[in-house]
Order: sequence, then C-alpha cells, then structure tokens
Amino acid sequence: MDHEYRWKNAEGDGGQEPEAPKEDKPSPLMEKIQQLGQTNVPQLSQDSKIHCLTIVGQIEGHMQLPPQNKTTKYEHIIPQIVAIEQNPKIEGLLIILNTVGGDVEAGLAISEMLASLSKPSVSLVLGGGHSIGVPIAVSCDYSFIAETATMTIHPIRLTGLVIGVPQTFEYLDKMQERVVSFVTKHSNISEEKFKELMFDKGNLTRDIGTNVIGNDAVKYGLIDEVGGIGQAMKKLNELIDLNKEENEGMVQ
Amino acid sequence: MILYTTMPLELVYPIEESEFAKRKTVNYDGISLIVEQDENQAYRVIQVLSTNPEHFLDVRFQPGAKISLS
Repeated sequence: MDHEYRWKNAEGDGGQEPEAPKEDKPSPLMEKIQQLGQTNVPQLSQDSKIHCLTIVGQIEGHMQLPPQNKTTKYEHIIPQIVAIEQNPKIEGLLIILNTVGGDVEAGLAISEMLASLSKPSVSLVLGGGHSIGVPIAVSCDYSFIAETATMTIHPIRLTGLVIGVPQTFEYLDKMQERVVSFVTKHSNISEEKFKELMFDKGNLTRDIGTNVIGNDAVKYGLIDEVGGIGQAMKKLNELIDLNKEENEGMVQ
Repeated sequence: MILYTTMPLELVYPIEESEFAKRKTVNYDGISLIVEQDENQAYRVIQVLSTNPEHFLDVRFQPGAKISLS
C-alpha cells in the first residue's frame, strides 16, 4: 500500500511545474561531476612508457560514416603507430579492442602496422573483437581476451551490394584469403580450423560463421590467454624487459 | 512505409553535409581532439585522439568539456 501511495503521489507531482533552478554559475566541482560523474581522476607520472591504442566501434574505411557512429579511423590510427615506433620514450603498446569490425582493407592495414611494430605490443579484447577485429587482435606479440568477450569469425562480404560478375566473387575470395593467411600466420590457429569456424552452420542464426567466446578463442589457439588489464600490463612489462635485454645484448 | 533492405542506412539515405561539418579534428596543445561546435561558438570535446594515457587524465579534455579555439 505504501508503495502504491507513493507512486500516485509522484504522479501527482509530475504535473506541477518543476522548481526553476537558480541561475548561478555552476562551481567547477559541479561541472566536473556533470561531465565525468566523478570529482577527480588518479594522476600518472609525466612520462608514460606504455601507450594505449583503443580500437572501438566500427573500423572506418574509404567511406566516412555519419557522426553518430562510433568509429576508428585509419587516418588517425596509422600516424599514431608511426609516432609510437619513432618515439624512443615509448617502450610498449597496449591495444584495447571493442569493435564490431568494418572495412577489411583498413583493418588489415592497422593489423600489418601493428605486426611490424618493433616495440612489444599486447592486445586485449574486451566486449567484442568481431570480424576484422580478429586480425587486429592476433597481430600483436601477445593477445588477451576477457572471459566474457566474443569474437565473430565469418566470411567476408560486401554489405548490401550484389555480386554481379564472377570476377567480383573471385576478388572477394582473394580478400578473404588475405585475412585467413594473416590470422593463421600471427596466431596458433590452423588454417583448417579457422576456415571450419568461418563456414560453420548453426551457430549464428541464418548465417554462417562462429561466435567464439573468451575461453574458446584460447582453446582454438586464436588468442594466447584469457585475462584482463592486470595480466595484459604484466605481460607487456615482461616483454619490454625482454626487449631491453635483447637490445643490450646487440650493443655488446 | 517500411523499407526492407540489406543496404546500409547511409547508402539508402545519404547523410547531409552539414552533419559532417559540425565535427572537426583539432590540435590543441599538441593533442589531437575531435570537437563539436555548439550554439555559442564554443567547442565541446567529443574524443581525445591520443595514445598517451596521461592525456585522458587531463581535466581540460574531460568528455563534454568546453574549450575555446582562437
């Protein structure tokens, strides 16, 4: 009864004009709470030797997506990777992935850039690393996946555009071969297994492919380990130390 | 009218140029930011385009923070 009474009361109040807020300038503290939902964030030391690249939303290719889409643009990512490679202060790179996939060529470009980076890199798949996110995840020296994260492996397709001529199909087939060879080269999964997952039926409703979840991705050899930010940072620091030792050995 | 299609939305309904014009990428104190212009000619931070984790802790570029470009 109490609950019902309050609900009715609340409804009654709803019709009234809300009290006009006082037109004071909000304090900096209030602004911060409104912007970030918290008052302060921890401060790092000035020099961060580990940089973090986040790949979120759609991987944008040659066509610009409308502003309401969350995208990762290769024209932003690639210069950043170049800068990381060149900056001697940066010792390692952490890649955070939560992507639905996107443009194949742009995705492969980012993957190739990461794979050829001379500095240690660790990737972490959080939430999802679907379709073209798979090559990006495996391109790093070591890869992690959150236990709840998923990766959808499916054949390459042109969204909504009809394959008109056999050449188009052959072109698509070649493009797919590039993805398959990249993934098998940079991870422990075999080509047969990857293609089996790619063309599997019954896993995705009315589509072919497989949605691989955290532990399964590790079981298939696609990803190295199940883990989170803690494990990823630990591994990256290990790789940085190893890299340093190797470089020192080369000098001597 | 209900339109059933496998075509992406942006191919069916082309996006107006003005939508793209609202947002731009700027370099502010050496940090690339995606900003959106609001009604008062001020710019609101949408995204920090940096790989340096420190830049994300900079209070000036908190999500929704307003910056002035001059």
